Amino acid sequence: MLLLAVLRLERDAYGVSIAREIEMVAGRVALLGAIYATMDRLEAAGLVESQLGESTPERGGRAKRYFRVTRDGVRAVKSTRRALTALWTNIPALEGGRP
Amino acid sequence: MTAQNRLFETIESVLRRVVPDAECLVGDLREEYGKRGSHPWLLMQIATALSIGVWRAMLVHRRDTVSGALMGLSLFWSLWVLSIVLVLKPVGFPHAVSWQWEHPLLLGIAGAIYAFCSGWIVGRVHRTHRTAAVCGFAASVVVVAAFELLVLRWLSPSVFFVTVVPRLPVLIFASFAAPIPILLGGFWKPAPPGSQNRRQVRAG
Repeated sequence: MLLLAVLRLERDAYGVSIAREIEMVAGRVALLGAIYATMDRLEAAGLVESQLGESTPERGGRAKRYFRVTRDGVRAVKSTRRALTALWTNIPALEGGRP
Repeated sequence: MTAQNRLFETIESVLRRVVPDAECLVGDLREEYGKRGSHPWLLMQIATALSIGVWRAMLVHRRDTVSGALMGLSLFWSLWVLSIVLVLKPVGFPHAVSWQWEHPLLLGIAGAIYAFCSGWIVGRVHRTHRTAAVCGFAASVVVVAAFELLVLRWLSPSVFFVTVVPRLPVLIFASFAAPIPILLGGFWKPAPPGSQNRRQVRAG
C-alpha cells in the first residue's frame, strides 16, 4: 500500500503526503511513525530510496524526507498485482455461486 | 522561541533517542499538527513512533537487549539485598521482608531509587545501543514480576494466597511503575554519541 501511495504521489512523496494519500484513497488512518518504520525497511530491501528535501517554516525548519520507488520496487508492485489478480479469479462465492 | 517551538523541540529530543530519522518525522508531525491542532492525534502519533522505535531497536540489537535486562535485574536485586544487609539489619530490622510489607511508602521510594540507579548504570554501560538495553531492562522487570508471582503460586500456594493476594493491587501497580525510574535513569543525559540530528550537524 505504501509503495502504491509513493508511486501515486510521484515527486511529492514524503511522510505527511503519504499519510494523507492513504487516508483519502483507502480510508485508513496512517500513523507517521509506522510509515517511517516501514519505509526504512523498504529502503533496506532496495525497494525505495529517499533524499532530504527543503525545510519550511511550518515544519519548524526541519527537512522533508522524499521517497521514490526504485526499479526493483516497481517490479515488486507489478509482481504483487499479478499475484493478486490471479487470486481474485475463479472464486465461486464472488461470481454468484454458492458461498 | 514560541511555546509550539519548545513543544516540538522537546518531542524531538525524546524521539531522537529512539527513532533513527526523528528530525523529518517531527517536521511531519509539526506540519500536520499545524493543520489539525489536535492533542490526542499528536499524542497517538508520538506513542506509536516511540513504541515502534523501541520495538525495532530491541529486535535489531537483541544481544544488547538481553545483556541490559540481565545486568539491570542483577544490579537491582544486588542493591536490594545490600540495602537489607547493610542498612535494615544493623538498625534493628532483622525481619527485613516483614518490615518491607509494613512500610510500603519507604519500600516504594527505595525501589524507585534502586531502579533509577540500575537503569543509569545499564544506560552508561550500553552507550552505543542504549535504547535496546534500557528498554529491555524496563520490560524485563514487568515480565520477571509476573513470572515470580506465577512461580510463587505454584511453589507455595499458602504463602501466595495469604501474603501476596491481599497486596496484589499494590504489587501490580509497583510492577508497572518500576519501568518509569528505570527509563528516567537509563536515558539520563547525555544522549549517545552519533545520535544528534542533521540540523545540529548543519548548525555545527
